[in-house]
Amino acid sequence: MKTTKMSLLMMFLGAICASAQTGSEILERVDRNTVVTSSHYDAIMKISLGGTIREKRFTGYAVGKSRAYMEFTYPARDKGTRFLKIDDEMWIYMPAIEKATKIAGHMLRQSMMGSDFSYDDILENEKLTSLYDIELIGTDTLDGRACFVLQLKAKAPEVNYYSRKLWVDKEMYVSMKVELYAKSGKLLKEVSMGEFRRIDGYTFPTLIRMVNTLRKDTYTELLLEEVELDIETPDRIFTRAYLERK
Amino acid sequence: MKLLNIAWRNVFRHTRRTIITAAAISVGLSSMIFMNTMMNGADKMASRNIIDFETSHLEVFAKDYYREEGVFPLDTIIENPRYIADGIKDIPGIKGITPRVKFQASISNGIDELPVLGMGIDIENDRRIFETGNSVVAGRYLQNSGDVLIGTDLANDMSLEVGSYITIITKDRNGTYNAFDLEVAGLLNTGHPLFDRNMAVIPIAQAQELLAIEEGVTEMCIRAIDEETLGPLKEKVSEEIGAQYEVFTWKEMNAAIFEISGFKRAGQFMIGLVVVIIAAVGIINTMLMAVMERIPEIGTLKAMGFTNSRIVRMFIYEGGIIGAFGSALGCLIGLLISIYLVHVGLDFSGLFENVDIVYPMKFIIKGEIDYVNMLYVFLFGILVSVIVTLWPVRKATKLEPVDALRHV
Repeated sequence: MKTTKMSLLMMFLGAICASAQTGSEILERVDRNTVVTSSHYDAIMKISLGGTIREKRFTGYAVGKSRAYMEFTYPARDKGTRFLKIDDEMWIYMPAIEKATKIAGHMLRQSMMGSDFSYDDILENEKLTSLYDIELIGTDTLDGRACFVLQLKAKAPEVNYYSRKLWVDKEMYVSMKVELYAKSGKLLKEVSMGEFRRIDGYTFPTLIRMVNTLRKDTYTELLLEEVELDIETPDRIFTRAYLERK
Repeated sequence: MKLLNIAWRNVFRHTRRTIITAAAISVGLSSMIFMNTMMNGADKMASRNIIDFETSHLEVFAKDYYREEGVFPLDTIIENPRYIADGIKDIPGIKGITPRVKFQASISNGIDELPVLGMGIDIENDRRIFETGNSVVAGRYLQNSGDVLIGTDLANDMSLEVGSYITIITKDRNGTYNAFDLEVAGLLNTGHPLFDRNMAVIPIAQAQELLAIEEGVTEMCIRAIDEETLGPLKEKVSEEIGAQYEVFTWKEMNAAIFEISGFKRAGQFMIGLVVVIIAAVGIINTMLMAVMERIPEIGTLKAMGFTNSRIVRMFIYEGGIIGAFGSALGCLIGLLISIYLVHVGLDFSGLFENVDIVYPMKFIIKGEIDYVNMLYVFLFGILVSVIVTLWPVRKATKLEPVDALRHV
């Protein structure tokens, strides 16, 4: 009986604490919970276009949010296509060309490997809390789970998406869904996260679904398998030389 | 005079031979004229498309804006277009000035997304110096914010029609995504592939808002009254607006295309040469036959006291007369073909349907007649006929009259 009272009290306190949280505090907590120092994973990319699903596989390494390396392994025509991201720059290596090309300017808007992800989406690495003014605008239920809804507005003009709307799970402190908006207020993309797994103290989404709302009947799902977190990643992986290796 | 008479009569004594020889010449020459008409037509169409839709005669950019073809940076633009317009409006020789904003974008019809070149135009001014406003084949020209004009080919590709809604997406000057919903106000059919299959034209204020460039524009287009003397006008404009801007003529900006053109001219010359050689071989052949046949005749003439030089001259006259007939016929046929080409044109579109071509025109080529060239072709025909007659005749006149008479 006493314990029940205690837990009730705890829950009550918790609720008060939660409501007292500001939007940026919530996001900070999400970051602590999900931003890993380094990772290695095998991923399946399912691109659905007008009812047909194409499947691609790649394996990737990432250190923080700033460095990433990806290499496609399936299907045969994409095999050996590699991507390297260092801070704000990105290169693509295609075996047929045997030379890395920098992805810059308006190429960044384009779709990566025919998916709903643009290169811009992959390149994103700055902390949202430093780019956006964050406001907690309410709560919502998503897939039966209670969520905070955060409204993000750009602090400075130099951001990809002028505003965002975030759904953060109240219990797990992970973002469940993000809506990305153009400056004019038009919804451009919807990202949802699912299949969260507890790995080494992090709560890690292993299913990411991206929908380009300007196209019809398309979405791209990323399924992460064999995820390893906080591992030793040799620095040589994140070099042009490694990207262009034979 | 007597020789010319004899030559004249000789030409008509052998009607069939004359007709065959003249026909050989005329076929060669009419092909040369045909080639020339087509090439001129293609060049003229390309130039017109560039001037009437793309650049007008002169374009002003902010310094370092124009780095390479097909790149439209937003970091070096003309921030204050009014300054330029006011500065140069009193320069004599300028017919009109209009600002434009070019930017890379995508458009979406709700199903697919396609990359396009976006262009913001000054609704009133633009139609004073460009033909874009006169090329609306369905719907209407731009009127309000939210209107967009797209090419007929692009409309087909994306199954759009007048009244359809599209979304235009781009990144503004700061790299932030921006998108607007637009209504297709009209369809353009310009004959310029860039406009017809790859362009979304919107009011300039909307482009400026979309790109967060305030009053800025990417270029100022200037139409001259006299299109032949752009050099001095360019100097004057350049002087007036100062060193933070650059001025280019339409030819300078399309150097690449005119290089292709130069290359094409070389190609045309080679084809022309082959045509000439074929024609010349035909002429030599028939002339050679004509002379060989008449070796006994040459013997007779020599026996009657004709000097070699008179015989040669007589044959030159004959060659010249046949050449003149052939050339006249060739020019006439060439002219008729050219007139057809000028009015109807040749449709190459099937050949290039899915090929992206940088040359700014569609592949229904209309001809353009060059009369001076036709005169040269005419003279060339006569000259070749005369020259190729010389060799067999000189050889024949070297024979002794007796041998010549015995020759079969």
